[in-house]
Amino acid sequence: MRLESSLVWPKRLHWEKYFRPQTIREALNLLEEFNGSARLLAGGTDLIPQIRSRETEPKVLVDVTRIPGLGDIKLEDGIIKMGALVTHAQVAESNLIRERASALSEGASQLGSPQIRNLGTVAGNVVSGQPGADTTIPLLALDATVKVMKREEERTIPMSEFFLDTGKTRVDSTREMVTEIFFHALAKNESSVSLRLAKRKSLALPILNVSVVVSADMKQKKFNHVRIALGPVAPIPLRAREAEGILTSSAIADGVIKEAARKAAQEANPRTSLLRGSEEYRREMVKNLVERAIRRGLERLEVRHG
Amino acid sequence: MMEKEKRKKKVLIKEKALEMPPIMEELSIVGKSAVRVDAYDKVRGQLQYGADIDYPGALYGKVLRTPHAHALIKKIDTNKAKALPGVVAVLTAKDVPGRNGFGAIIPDQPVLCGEKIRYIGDGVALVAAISEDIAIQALEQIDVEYEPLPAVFSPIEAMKPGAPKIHEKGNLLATSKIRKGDTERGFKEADIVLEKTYTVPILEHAYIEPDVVIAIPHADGTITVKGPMQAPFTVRRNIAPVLGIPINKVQCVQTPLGGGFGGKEDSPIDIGARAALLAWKTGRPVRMEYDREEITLSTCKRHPMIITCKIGAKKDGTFVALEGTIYNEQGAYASLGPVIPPAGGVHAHAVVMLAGPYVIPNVKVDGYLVHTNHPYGGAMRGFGAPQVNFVHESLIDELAGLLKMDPYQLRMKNCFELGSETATGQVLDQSVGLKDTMEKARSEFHWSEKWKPAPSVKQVEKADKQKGIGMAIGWYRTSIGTSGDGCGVNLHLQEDGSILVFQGLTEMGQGSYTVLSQIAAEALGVNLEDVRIVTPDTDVAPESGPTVGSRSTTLMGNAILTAAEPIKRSLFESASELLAIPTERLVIKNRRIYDRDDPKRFVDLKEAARRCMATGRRMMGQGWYAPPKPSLHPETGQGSPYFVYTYSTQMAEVEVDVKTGVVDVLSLVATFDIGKAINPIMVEGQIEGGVMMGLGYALMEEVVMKDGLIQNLNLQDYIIPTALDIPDIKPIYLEYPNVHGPFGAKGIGEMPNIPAAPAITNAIANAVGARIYDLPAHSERVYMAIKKRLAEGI
Amino acid sequence: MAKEKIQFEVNGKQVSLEVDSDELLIDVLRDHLGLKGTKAGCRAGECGACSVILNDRVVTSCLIPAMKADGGRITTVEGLEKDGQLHPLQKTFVERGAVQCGFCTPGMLLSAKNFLDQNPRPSIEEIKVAISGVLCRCTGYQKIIHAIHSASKTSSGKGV
Repeated sequence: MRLESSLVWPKRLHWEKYFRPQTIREALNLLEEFNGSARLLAGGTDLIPQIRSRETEPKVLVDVTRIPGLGDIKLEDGIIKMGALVTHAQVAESNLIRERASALSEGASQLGSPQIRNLGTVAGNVVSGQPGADTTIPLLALDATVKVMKREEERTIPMSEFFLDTGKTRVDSTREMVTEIFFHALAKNESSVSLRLAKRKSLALPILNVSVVVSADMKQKKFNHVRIALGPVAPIPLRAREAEGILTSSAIADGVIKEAARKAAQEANPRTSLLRGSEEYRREMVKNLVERAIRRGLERLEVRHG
Repeated sequence: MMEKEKRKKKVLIKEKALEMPPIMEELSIVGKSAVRVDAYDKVRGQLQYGADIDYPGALYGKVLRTPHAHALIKKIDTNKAKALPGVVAVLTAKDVPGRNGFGAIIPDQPVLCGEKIRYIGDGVALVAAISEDIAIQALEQIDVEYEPLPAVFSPIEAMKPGAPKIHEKGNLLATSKIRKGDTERGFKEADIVLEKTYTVPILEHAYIEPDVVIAIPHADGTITVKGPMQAPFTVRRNIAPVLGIPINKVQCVQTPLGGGFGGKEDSPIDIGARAALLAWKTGRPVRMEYDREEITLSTCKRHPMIITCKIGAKKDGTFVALEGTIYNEQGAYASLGPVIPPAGGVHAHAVVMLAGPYVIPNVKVDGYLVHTNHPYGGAMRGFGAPQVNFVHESLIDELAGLLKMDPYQLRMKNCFELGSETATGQVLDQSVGLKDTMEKARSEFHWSEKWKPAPSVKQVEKADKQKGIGMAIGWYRTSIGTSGDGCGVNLHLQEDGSILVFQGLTEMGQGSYTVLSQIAAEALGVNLEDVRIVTPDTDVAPESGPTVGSRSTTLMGNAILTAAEPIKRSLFESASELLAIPTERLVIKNRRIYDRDDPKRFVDLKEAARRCMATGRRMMGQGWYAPPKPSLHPETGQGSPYFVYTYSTQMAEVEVDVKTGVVDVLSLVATFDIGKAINPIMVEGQIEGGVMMGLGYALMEEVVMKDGLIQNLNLQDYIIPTALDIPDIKPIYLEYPNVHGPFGAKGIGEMPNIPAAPAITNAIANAVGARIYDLPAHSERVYMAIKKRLAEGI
Repeated sequence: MAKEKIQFEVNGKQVSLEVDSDELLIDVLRDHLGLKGTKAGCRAGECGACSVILNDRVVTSCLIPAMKADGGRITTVEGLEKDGQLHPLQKTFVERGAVQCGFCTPGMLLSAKNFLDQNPRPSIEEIKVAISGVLCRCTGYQKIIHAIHSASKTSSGKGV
């Protein structure tokens, strides 16, 4: 009987070639050339462990960290744009993002550890296709868009259509490259919140990430709309659209917030997991954290208008 | 002086109390927070751990591990593996020249399984190759045909008739009991009886330095095995019979450990025997390193237990009876579970400790140590005590609630003091500072000001965050309770006044090298930097026993004091000649030997040492220390199993998020009676580190099993506390001198780890009015307990 | 496999090396340069024992191909002392009992240095975040936090 690879953990990793292209075009040409056996390397915080555990065995690594112009966060015409090489640390340290997209700031600050945040990129986190990824969830609530380049073409994919299955997105990582992620900076009547539940306060995968964007008229005490993103509660990250529907244009009241939270818990579909928890608990956490996130979003608007 | 007088008085109060040793002159180095001797090398990154030593030309060894939990081996085909270029040896069971078995107590674990395997991770073949890559390729070329057998994963199931037999003799490995008084009558006399069942999980040591070893065979038929190990003598005594050679041909040398916590008492036997076997067969040095996941998969763990405990008390809180049943899951192999007569091994210890540090006239405990097809239990900090302490401290805390008593008062009413009799009938005739630790904790923590009963259901529903406080007390032995417990040391004075210490206890971060150096320096009147502890090496050090059981300071410290005597005699004789003063008037201190009555008349210790050399005087001393002999009757569990105990009280304040079940420990006061703090700052370090391990036990740590396979092999999924998880810890120690300890010392290494978990879970109960009976109290468990309480409305 | 030529600055010195393209930075530091102070605790980026400072950011060297670090500036624990003088953090770690087994110590020191370089006046909470990427099983973190605080300007230490 063959040894299952799950019981062997090598020290030395193996790939055959390592390239460091200076332009996006070069990178994409390399991907095409190696026809499925090359992978892009940015932070490496997902890819390197995956190579070690043999989840993926690329023959070629294409290190894109030398490509200039991909490491900036900028605000242009009310749109925040993050290059593909922007790290979680950069996002966590960005005043712009803290002020105009606090949910993303919070998500990026809570992930991993300082070391992981210094290395890992937001683009990489999104492309991992993990349904609870710490920057994916806030970006989903922020209604972000991903810019992807293939050999000759560039296209944009909204986050809400980006994910296909656990670990699988519309991006073919052996042929395409994410170049930018962008979203509308929040307006004065919008606030955002990210909440994270995990088994310890650092270096832990999330049991649940919840991000909300709350748009409300605090004088009229009325919601305009709320966007609710959460994961991992399904194979792909979830926008709780039915819960959002309950809040659209409704008066701000305890009852309606609780109803929306309950609905979000129904829309979620977590399974009992030995490491993350039972289905019952995970659903209750959706309810409790969605409610808490909405309330905190309202508090943040209060403070602004107070 | 006041403290010393108070203590002297307390000791004389009880008739059976032992005499205090004479008050010593002021100490120079013992009792001071000396900088640890290896600190500089460690902060500079210069200290060489096992993996930092290069061995050009050494082969790389790897173990083929089985993916089955229980199976017969029908066939192993190694031909393809052997044929790979770069593979030097592929070994199976038939290649073991001597005994195909190792184990810290019973050698029941095959070096290489030939007939059957008993847990996922069991070793089936060994490969030595010129690189790790080739060794891994070779592993994958080995074909093993298994016939899976039904497996059993619970100790209760494993005890049922017809359960799959893991070892020939059956699954019940040991029973231990306590029979004191008459519990049936005791419970009848009780006004209140409370019985609960608790479970505690499998734990992983998670020492940050992975297991590593180098085995070097020599042309003269000896072999050196070098790596991090807590028990080089145990490793040696296991490797020799595996290779079929006498013990004196195996040399085990310790490299500084990056943490041990009991795990490296056992794992070096495993990695050492396997590397040694490969080295023996190939005639070449073989290096083996276990990967993090491999360590979690295959090495020993903390014993999980299912414990039912019943306590009976009068309505004024006096305890009258305690009964307990312990299902102690040993896992696939014996490791450190079984009884080493009279009171050694995890199982016997847990049974002795279940009744807690309380005076209870009627006690009945039955403990069953049972094999399953899970990874096996070995030594882990506390050695059975953390498990049972969680039980008795939770039970008594709940009892306090039922009696409407402050849990502090209920404990104070029943706990040990000097002269108390334990559940094994041992009279504590010295060094019992428990009540003082309680009083000290209470005042530092402001227990009485903070104490309030648990909130009502309405109160819990009103506020998302609830605060609560909890406490726990505990006791822990010094040393291991076996009749063979002893340790030796050789001290050598050099003619320039520097000292060499040859002993076999190891440095794993706890500070043994520093503390033992302080004791040697104090005894011989030199400075700390004059003492050098030679790397523990079984070729050169006397038998010292393992570095476990909080025994190092006490036992080896005593041995060092004994060894110092003949050296001091020689120095005094030389100094006496140099100064023309009788030896009775001489004092040795701070590199000088001087006249007690006229300190200005002195000679440098160096000079006296030179004279010793010149006059052919003996400059070496040997010390052997064995503690007072333990006793424990196998049928009644009566006797004096351990000769002295350390005591601790811990109080914690927590805040529970009712909506998620997440628990924040805000602050924790931990007080200890440790006899004597040889090095205060290091004592604090042991306290803070041990408390955090206890916090991990309380809130987050567990090895998650499914069908015999560990689900959380790496350090991302096996959760230990990070810097963000820690409370404000206040470490406090008191000194109730141990008559049998050097300068009054007793052990500290494990005590901090023990009451921390129940202090926290009791605080959770106080915060939300719902109790946790199964560790860890992770957020889901806490949340569900609250939910259940709110649903029941009480 | 053909060797690749890389060079970087390690602890202030330029080094040129020939490495396999699939070698990791941690192994190049330890095996090619003999800098054993950087430790391998898990090889999965989870324990922080392999932390080094690369281009002014503390990172886990077990996740970084050596080729990726080509042209970079690296500080390992061996680079903290200058001309035989200990770095203030090394001093306070020694004095405050912040070292037990020492295996996490290099990772802790580099995390602390990188942090204090950006935040000379930290709060205790900020220090906890700074070292939250390095696991310690021995000390319970408390003395490490105090040592870092004591070395910072907040406590009127000379700062770093």
